Amino acid sequence: MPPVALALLPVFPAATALILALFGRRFNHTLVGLVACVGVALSFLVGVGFVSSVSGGAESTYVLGSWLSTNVVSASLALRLDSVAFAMVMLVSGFGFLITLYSIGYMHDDSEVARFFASLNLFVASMLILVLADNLLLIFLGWEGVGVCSYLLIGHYWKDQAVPLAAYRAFFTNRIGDLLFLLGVAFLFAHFGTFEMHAIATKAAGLSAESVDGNSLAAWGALLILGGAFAKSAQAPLHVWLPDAMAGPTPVSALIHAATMVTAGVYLVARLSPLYALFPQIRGVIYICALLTLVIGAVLAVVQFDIKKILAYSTLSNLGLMFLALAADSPGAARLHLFGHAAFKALLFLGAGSVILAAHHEQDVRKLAGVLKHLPITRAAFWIGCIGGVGLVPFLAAGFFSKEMVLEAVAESPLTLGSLVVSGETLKWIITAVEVLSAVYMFRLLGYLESNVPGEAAKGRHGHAPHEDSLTVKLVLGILCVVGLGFGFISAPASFGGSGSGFFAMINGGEQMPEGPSFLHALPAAIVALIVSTLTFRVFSNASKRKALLRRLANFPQSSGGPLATKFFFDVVYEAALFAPLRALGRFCASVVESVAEGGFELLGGAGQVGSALLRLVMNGKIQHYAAVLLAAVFLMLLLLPGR
Amino acid sequence: MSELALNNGLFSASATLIVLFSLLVVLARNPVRSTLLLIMSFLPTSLIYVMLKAPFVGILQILVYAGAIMMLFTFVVMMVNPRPEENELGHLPGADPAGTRRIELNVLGGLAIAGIPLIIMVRSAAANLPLGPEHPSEFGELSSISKLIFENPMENPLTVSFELISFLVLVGIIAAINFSRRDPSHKKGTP
Amino acid sequence: MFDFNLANCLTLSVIVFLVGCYGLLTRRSLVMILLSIEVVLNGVNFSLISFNHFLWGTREFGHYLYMLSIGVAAAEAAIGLGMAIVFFRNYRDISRERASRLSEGES
Repeated sequence: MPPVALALLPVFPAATALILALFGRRFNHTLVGLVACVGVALSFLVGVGFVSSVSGGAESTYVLGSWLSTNVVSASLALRLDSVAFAMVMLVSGFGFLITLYSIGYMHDDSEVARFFASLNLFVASMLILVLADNLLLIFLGWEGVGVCSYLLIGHYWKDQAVPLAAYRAFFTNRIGDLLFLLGVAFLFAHFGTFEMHAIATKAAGLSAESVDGNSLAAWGALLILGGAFAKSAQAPLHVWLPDAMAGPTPVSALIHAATMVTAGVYLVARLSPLYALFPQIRGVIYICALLTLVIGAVLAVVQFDIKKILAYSTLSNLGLMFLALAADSPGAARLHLFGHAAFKALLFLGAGSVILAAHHEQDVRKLAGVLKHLPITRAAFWIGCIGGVGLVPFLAAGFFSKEMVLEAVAESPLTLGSLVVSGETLKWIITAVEVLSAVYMFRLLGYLESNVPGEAAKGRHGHAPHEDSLTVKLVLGILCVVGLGFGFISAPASFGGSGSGFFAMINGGEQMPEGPSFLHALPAAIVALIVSTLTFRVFSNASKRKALLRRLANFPQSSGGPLATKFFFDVVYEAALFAPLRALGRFCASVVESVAEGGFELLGGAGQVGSALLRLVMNGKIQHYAAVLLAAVFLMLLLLPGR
Repeated sequence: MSELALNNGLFSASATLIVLFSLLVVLARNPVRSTLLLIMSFLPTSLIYVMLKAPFVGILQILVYAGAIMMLFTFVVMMVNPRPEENELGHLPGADPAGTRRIELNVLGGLAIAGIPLIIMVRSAAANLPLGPEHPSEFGELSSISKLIFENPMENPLTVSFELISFLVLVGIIAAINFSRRDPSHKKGTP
Repeated sequence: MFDFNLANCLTLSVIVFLVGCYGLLTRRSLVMILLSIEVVLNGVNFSLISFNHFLWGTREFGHYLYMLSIGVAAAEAAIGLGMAIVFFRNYRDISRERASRLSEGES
């Protein structure tokens, strides 16, 4: 595949997005979806053609032209495909295609499909630019693009009152991150003299940790870019937008907020990992924020009743896990979990979409009790997804090996931030404990859905039980079930006798897969997870046991203003510290402008009145008056003009 | 008497008459009287023009000014025929004798304030100006003037402007006829 | 009594001009205002001729300007008197007060 075809990768979905934006309203709904699928499919196919160009550590670069060229700065529009980018391209276009296909069925009754699919395609195009970008400026282009599309897609059901606000919050939080990102880019450029990520990584790898000052431009640049990555990947404290983003349609949650956009931050930091390897203090910051995110996500997921919110907080938790791997200076483990998480989380979200569709857009888990009985393919999807998400069983569970690898990496890398030092082993036990919660929330969800006593939705309407209607939904779920199952196999390390090293090498640019834990080493954690899962499932799937448990929990004093209900107070703090002052500032400015404008206009009017009063004295209609004025002027001129 | 003294005497007398008659023109109550007095003021003016070596101009003054323009005024005065008491210091209701007096005094004062410095300025400037050269023999005669205007008509700007002035007069005539025509089909009498 | 020189001629011209201005600003009837303008022009023409006599010597430009002046005066008198006639036809009154109230419409 010639390098010029790299440019085609984002062009195909962008072109279909344009077509749909201009003419989509005249097509019927299926045609709109098909056009969108074709755009992404073409990208996928062209991407596949590049597999030989990236084997064995080779890479393919295509330069479109120079973007900025001045004496001081220069950047070019260059796309670069190495095996890491290749894997991401496959992920984005592959999952993009499957989810677009799914959406044909899911969004069939929607009235604004053209805009939806156009935004979806534009998202794929922007994400591809992000992944293929050679330099930090071009990646920012894709960064912004995915932010805008995320806003458009979250706000799809804009007629609902709460939705535009959620979309706005997502965009606004991203904006804060973008500001930090740009500052970071500037600092990095000042230190390294280039925008190209590969060049920066190579230069950083050439330095040793002792030779670089912690206050240098490179350190500040790394820290600021981290801010941008945190906003995009929803790490604390910039995580508040992700649960609200569930206001968008479910395919959007699956694609953007599980598999692709939120992983952009992980991708960027992983690309620059040699830079972060130089600064243990900055990695300490990542540790803290990621741990916070991990805990917040896991704890809040246990107490949610909305099926999508449970999955959203689970995503938050898993993103925290990815950043923990990055904090432990193991980008390989982070990338492995990125792919694994995409596999099972997309499956779960799409399964949830199928449930929501069958239950006529009911999302409360209590009302959805027992609904999976009527939805066989969705049932399979949920079981595979939950087992994979918890990482219960090696080989069959998608998340098993990736989580193990993260834990191993953390164990070897202590947290150092200032005078705070936490050993790796301690961290590993903390994380394992939190991961037990993941078993709880996952199987709580599964328990509700498999409950023995059907809830309202499971009883169906007008005598019809809920059923799986849409062909594309079932098809895509089926494909993703296979992917979810298969991931466990391709990610297994050598110590388990698996062939994961090939996949690992591909997604990590030829890096060798580290020795995984031995089977015995991993056994205790697996057994604990199994016990907890089974217990949780049995309690929650049995309606009477579930009700008994909830009654007992209700005896605990709980305040509705407590940390769980207010999502650990983040929203309150943001409102008080940021939003309320900004609103007050806006009101003040408006009042100033109003009074200035009013005052200005009154002044103008007054001046006009004064002027006209003066004129009225002169213009009185008496001809001899005019003649007198004329004569007076002439005499004045004669007398006062000298020498004439 | 010497020629100089004769000139001075004639000039003095004519000047006095001109000023006298002009004053009477603006002060007379009867419009017919005003017009006549103006005509009479043209006679000494013509005399001074002849003394100023401008005989043709002197004739023109009588012929055109007194003969044509004043005829116009006379006709109009007859047509409009304002009654004498309507004219000045009116005794009609709505007239304002005190106001008119005030206007008159104001104007007088203003003209005095402007005029006296003007006269002083003019006299001092005139005293300092050098006299021009001797006049050629046919100075001011019709032949000389017509030579001035019409010689070399192609390059002479005076020819063109002379013709334009006659055109201007024609335009004035046409305009005046046009807007003062009484058209019976219009209701309000404005053409 | 007065010498026949430029200064006196110009003084005469200015005095006649001022007299005419007085009439222009004071008279009540439109036709009389126009007559006063003729007085003004008379004074101005006098200055033209006297300048030419005393200062220029060879050619009679001043006389030519005089002819222009009376040409313009004729045209202006014709039009002005025409307007006065029209005014009279409409309002039966040629006073300056009536002319000031022209913007108010009929009567």
